[in-house]
Amino acid sequence: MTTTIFSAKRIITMNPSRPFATHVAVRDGRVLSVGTLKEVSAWGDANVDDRFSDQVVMPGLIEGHSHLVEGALWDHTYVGYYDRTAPDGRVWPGLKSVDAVVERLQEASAAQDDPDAALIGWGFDPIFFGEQRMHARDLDRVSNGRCIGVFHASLHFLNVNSAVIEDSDLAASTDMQEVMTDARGAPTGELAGMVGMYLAMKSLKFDLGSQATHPPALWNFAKVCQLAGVTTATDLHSPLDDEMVGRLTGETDKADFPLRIVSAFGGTLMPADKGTARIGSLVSKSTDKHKMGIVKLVLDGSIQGFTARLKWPGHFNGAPNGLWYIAPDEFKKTVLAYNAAGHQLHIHTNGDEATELALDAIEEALATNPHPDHRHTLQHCQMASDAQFRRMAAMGVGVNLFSNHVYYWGDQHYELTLGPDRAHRIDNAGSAVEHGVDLALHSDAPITAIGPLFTAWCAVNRVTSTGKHLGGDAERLTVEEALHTITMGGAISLKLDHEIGSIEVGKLADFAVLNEDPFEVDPMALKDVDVWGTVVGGEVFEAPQV
Amino acid sequence: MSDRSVIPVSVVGGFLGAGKTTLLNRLLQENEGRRLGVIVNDFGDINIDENLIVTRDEDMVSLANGCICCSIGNDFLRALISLVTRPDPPEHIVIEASGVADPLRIAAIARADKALRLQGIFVLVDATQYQTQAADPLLVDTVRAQVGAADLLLLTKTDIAKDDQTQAVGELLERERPGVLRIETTTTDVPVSLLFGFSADLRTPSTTPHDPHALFWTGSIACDKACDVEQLTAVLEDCAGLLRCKGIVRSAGGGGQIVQWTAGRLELSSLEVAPAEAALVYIGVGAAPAGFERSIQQCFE
Ligand SMILES: [Zn+2]
Repeated sequence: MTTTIFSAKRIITMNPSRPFATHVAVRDGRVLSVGTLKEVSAWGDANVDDRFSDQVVMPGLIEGHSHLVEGALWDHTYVGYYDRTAPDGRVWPGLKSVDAVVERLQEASAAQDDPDAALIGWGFDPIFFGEQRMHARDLDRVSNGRCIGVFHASLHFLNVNSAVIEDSDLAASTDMQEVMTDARGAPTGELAGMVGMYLAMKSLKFDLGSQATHPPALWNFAKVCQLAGVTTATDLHSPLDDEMVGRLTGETDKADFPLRIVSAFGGTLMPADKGTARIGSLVSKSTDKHKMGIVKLVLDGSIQGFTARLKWPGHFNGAPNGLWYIAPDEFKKTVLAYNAAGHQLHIHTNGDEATELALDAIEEALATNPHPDHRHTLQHCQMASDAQFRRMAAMGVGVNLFSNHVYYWGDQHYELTLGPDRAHRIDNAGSAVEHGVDLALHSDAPITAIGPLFTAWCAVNRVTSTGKHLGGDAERLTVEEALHTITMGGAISLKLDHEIGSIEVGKLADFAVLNEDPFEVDPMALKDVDVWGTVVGGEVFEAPQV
Repeated sequence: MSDRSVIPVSVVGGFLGAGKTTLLNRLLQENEGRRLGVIVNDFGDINIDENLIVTRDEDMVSLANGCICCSIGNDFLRALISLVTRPDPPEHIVIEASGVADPLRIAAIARADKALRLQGIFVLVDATQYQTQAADPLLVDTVRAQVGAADLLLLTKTDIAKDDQTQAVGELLERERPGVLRIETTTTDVPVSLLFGFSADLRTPSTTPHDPHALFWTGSIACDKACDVEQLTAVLEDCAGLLRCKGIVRSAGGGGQIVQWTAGRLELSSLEVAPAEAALVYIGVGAAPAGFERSIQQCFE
């Protein structure tokens, strides 16, 4: 029974009774004591580890809404507009033109030995390229013969080269909304929705979902998290079949696996009677580093994809209302069933109409089967009104807001999807705090990059990518509130606040180790705070030096 | 690519409770020797005769009659691709759209793949519920989109609907989709093999207990003269209520054409050698339109 005492320049504990300290003693993977060297030494013999003496230690950061496919994507070529850090620590610079995308794909193609294997790019984001769209001709410059597909950041659009077009019937199907055409009416290779996904799976042999739980993808995911100071991350919609659970348990169990994963079961992948039985049988298979028990339901689509369910007055540009992913009545029955069985629900609602329906369903379910501390949580919930927050507070429903939207899509919401009024209140974390609703913040990786400090920065500054400020001061979080949401907030929403989220006696020794003090930097520099690495269950994981 | 390797795909849409599952159950039983691949939302509702099951795993059941039934499981696209890329792909694929899906978006997949051909979009409308659904602000756009996608509308549960209900829904649908084929029926009554185009003989849909003449009109023409296919196309397109037309005709320059018309979609495939026998058979909903036979005959002058 060895005890290690880590000393640090400063320890931010998130424990209000001892907010700051200089030393933390760790025994059996848990925090034994936090305080001064003298205080934590009182527990007996210990090795003092001074390697963090120039660093600031805070509770391991928690990503409460991400997806393991982030890890699978890193086996392919990143071609996004923003810089993104790969699992090996290398920063891939953002690409600002179609030519730059083509160039990176050319390099990837040259490095790919099998001349027949498909080439996949991901993260593409032409939003700032003005009128210019990518054309199959552009991708034909990468390689002729090889099938090529480039996924947009949303994963909802795909650009393909001529090889894929010729392999398909797209040329004869240009009247479909899924197939973008050029001035001459020929397909450009840009595809939307399931048509793109289908051809990616069939012609490009690309199956993200099944790759996501394979060991290389799991390790990629864990390392991306480690580099961002994250010690617990979620896979917030999973079939969790036996094979997947086996792989997840097997990999996460390894002592050098640097992450705890919380998997949420996709509650509509089977009828609720079978689903409740399935998730019930999984809970006991949770391990130290792989937790199950949460059920995820998806009610509508996305705001930027015009598929969210909006209340009046609907989309700013007049686009029709979005889609239900499950029929409203079916949804209510599903909520009722999982709530009755005692499972915590995380419900994806983007539009305010979806949020309203989710609250109605929870209210009815709780009236039928009251559950103290159910902790049902709305995920995204980007358009919540004060009235809706008030209902959440009254019912004990939490929220996990998609604050990264403010930066990445804030301008688009202002100009196109929602208009000024509702763009200003998008992901209104200030209101959530004001109403006393349990609050977490997320990246929805791979939609945006995992980086809770960046997410916190979004909530603190509420600035869009073109520099517009949304929502005034009332919706901003203080740095302290923001740091609370990416630690304790995440832990509370996952019902793991007894184990993680703060550095205090009895909790798991999960830390984010930072090279700068987030309280000392300018709030506008919060996203740039350098991460040294993490500690998970007392094991130290230094980020690779690139 | 020869037309034989192209798999026809039918999409069955409609809101929850409209009777899609009953229809699919019947399809699996009344397959008339065709090896069907049927993709359903959930096995739970499909009552497959246990004696018919050859193999079964979590997401796929193979039946003694050659049909394969897949549940969407985790992933609809994966289920579809596994059917299409099998060494022994089905002769016809039928996809059940989810109760909230827009069938047009699913049909788009069939149109995007050379290996597939969209045979038709069949949308079931519950005669007892449609008025309520169309008046519900949360549902109206979903059910309208489904009706909007249909090549053929099946108004179901007319046996339990009140008379004025069926009529009112019929009128509503006529306003939303004027001229689109519509059959008022019950789910146990629809001659499925005929609708989905795999009945051997259009004139005698023998396996349906229902008397087809009550709902349908039928006819045929045998003609050795060359057929003006453009004119034929125009006649078929003009004919209100025409459900199916199929057969082989001779071409003016020698050779022939296989003609397949299903619920508003015409498929032509060329034959190099003139057929020994040339004939067309057709079937429509309701009463035969006046002058149709004569118009068809004129295509062979
Ligand atoms: Zn998500």
